[in-house]
Amino acid sequence: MAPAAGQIRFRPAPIPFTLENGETAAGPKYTPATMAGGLALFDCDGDGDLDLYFANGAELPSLKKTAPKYANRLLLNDGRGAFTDFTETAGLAGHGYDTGVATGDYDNDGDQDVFVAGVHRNTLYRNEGGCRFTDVTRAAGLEKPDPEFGPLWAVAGAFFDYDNDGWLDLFVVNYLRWAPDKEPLCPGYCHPKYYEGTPNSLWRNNRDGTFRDVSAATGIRRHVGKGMGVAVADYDLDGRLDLFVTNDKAYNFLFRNAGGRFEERAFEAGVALAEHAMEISGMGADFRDFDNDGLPDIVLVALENETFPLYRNTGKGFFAELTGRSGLAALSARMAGYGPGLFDFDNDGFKDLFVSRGHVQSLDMRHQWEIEQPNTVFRNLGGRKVAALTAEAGFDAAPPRRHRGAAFGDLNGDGRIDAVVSALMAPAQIWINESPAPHHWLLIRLEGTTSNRDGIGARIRVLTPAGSQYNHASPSTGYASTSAGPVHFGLGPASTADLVEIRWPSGGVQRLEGVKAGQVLYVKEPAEAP
Amino acid sequence: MIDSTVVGVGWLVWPLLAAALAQEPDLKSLYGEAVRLHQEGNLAAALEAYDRLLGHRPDFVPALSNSAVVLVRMGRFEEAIRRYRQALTLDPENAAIRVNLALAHYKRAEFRQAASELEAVHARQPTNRQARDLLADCYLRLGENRKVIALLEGLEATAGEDQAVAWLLGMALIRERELDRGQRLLDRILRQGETAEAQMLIGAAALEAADYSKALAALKKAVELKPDLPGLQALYGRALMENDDPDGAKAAFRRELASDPDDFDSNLHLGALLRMERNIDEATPYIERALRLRPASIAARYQMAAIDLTRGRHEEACRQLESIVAEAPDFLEAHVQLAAAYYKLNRPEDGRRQREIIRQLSERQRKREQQLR
Repeated sequence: MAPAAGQIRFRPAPIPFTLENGETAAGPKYTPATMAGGLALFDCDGDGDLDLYFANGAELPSLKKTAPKYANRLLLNDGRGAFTDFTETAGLAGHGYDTGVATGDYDNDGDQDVFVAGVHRNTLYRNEGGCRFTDVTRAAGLEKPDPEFGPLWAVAGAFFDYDNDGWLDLFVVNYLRWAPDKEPLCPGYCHPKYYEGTPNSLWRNNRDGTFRDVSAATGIRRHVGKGMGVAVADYDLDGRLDLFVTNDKAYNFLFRNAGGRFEERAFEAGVALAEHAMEISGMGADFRDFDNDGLPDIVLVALENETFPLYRNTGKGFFAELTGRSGLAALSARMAGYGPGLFDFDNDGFKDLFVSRGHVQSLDMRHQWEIEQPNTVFRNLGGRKVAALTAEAGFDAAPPRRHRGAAFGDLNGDGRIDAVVSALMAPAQIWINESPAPHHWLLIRLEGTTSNRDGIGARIRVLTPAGSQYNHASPSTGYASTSAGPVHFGLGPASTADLVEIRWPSGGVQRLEGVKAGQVLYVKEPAEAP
Repeated sequence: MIDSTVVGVGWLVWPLLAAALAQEPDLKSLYGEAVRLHQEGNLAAALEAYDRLLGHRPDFVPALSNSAVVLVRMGRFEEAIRRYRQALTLDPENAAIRVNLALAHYKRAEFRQAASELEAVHARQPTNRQARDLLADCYLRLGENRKVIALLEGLEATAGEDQAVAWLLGMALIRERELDRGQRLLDRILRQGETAEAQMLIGAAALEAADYSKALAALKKAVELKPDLPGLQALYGRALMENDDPDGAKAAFRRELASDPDDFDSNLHLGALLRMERNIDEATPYIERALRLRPASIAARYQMAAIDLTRGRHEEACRQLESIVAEAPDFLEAHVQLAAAYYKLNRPEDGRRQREIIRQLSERQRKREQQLR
């Protein structure tokens, strides 16, 4: 039976990558093994389509890639959704236990560079052009261990321009203080309470290929947490990008960018705790406008009984939790999620919520928990309610797994946002979006000139007869992952956008009228604000 | 099972009254009849007979006391306590009645009142083992572990011979993290064979030492040996909880509560688990009961404050949390909830202050843990 119009449907497609997390069935459990799985969708070779890069694990407890199976993997897209392994040529195989991926053009040379977050070792790869990379970690100044905490376990990174100087800075989410010889003995993977938290890091771009640690100077370092996810948006519309950081079994952080310094405002803003004042196992997050009111909202995912909290930005520096009222609390109560993504999968004009699902625990805890789970998409029913689609969206076409990272983008040029999901000790999955609704769409590829070249932080309003909708360029999304494709809009029945308005990080506003749907619109920032 | 004892005919204890009764053969036979019915378990008839007797002689202590025993067995605790008190007004030195009064309070989970009566008995009769052990049990249930230790430590050298003393003292020592002393008692119990009591102590010690796998293994064995050992399911529940098995933990707590609805730990932890599952309606009565059992318990008050916060009773939550952090200034989670409560109450200045306390406290705790490592 054909799915009803308005449904969201995905079809699985194979991808030659298995996430090797270093876990053994009988051996001791090392916590990094359950936190692996970041990935990126980005245009590595500048040919206009989205390529795939998977961070991979390593042997435990040595944290070394002792066998080819542990290599990170770069797969080039032929533009029709078929992928070729390009890892060796690209020089991106990696060395250590890698967890997260962030991409961005930090040197403004027109190609995408890659930051790999890992356990006790981060790596910055400079794209020399044509998807060929050089490890510049040391030269960039990123190889310094923390003076107090030593080598940190980084889960994720986010390129963004916090000081609006036109150069991408780097935020790194750090998780726990971990050492293999101090791993506590637990029946499965240990609860985060057994480990010391660590502060996150902020690296300012020196505009010469190097970075300097401004974590203390900007106030980021004052806040020690157990960071898992980061999402970036200008929530108070003051022109400066803010950060939302999830913590594992601890309150979240909302770092408000006060211009050179960050103020931690999660309590004030009402996003520190989940509904019922709970500290939950915050995993990945996204920070986008869910209800089309022009204000970025927040969603994060967590484990069973913790729900997937959804916070609506009220525009007064405060968020109201929508989890219960939207139906998300009841729908997600029995789910464990890692990688959320707010994208309009049915092109109806409202962003839906995709969640890569799986439990944090090991497979030998199956008797207690539903460890392997299918993915789910929560369809946005007008910005206030959601409907959960699992089998209905086709996710039962693949076995349930311990899904981890998720990245989103149009892989085959049909204007529908596809998803790529990693899973521990299992093949990754591409989910080709085959949602049947004949809706229109628009993809906007930005190039900053005064602003950073990727246009990260640019806010876009698209006006159709149905009203306005908003999105912003912010590739760091979900769990330890990056979705660096063009900014996507579903236009519903509108074949033309009456207006596309772009507010660049430099402050300039650009307006384009009568933009035809069904295209990847390339927009370059005018040298002077029009 | 601890039970009240029938004081007896009391003929010789109250000679004047007995002499009076002796002159009233009807009353004497009525009393004999009441005791007989009582001993046969015919409670309603026994009570009626005692009441008839008390109608004639309201100051006859044995009838007052024995009828109170009957009332306890009928679950009519308040009336029983009233009669015991009446009896004690007439015969304040009667230790047996005072112990029975304590037992009535104990059964109502009024451990504070029970302890108070037992303290009086113990002061006069330090060799009364029943009073001493019951008093120690009350202290243990009230979380007053130091008092248990003070009461029983004189017996520590010989405690292996008395399993009850060894167990009570061992539990108190383990809870107070005097693990070596607790372990020595444990070894003495273990010498008498692998008993559920010994495994329970091993499990309790392992729980206190945060060795949760060992705790679970020992407590599981104890459950296999004697599942209805008082307090065992509560400890087993805690071990399951620490081993990331909340469903198993809830089932264990429920089993404990089926045999002892007034087990503080089971009420507290079951309520907390249900609250964390957002099952607030079901959680609330358990937390309320835990609070009735130990009104001063910071853990129970914290859970109630969290429930209040959930239910939108921000003022109540705030008041409770303020008193909690005043008593326990290092209780990080309480500060977190209090910060949230202040912001809900639109008290940003107080919220900011709490936020800074949270940051400093987290930092202090982190450094302390670092040193321990």
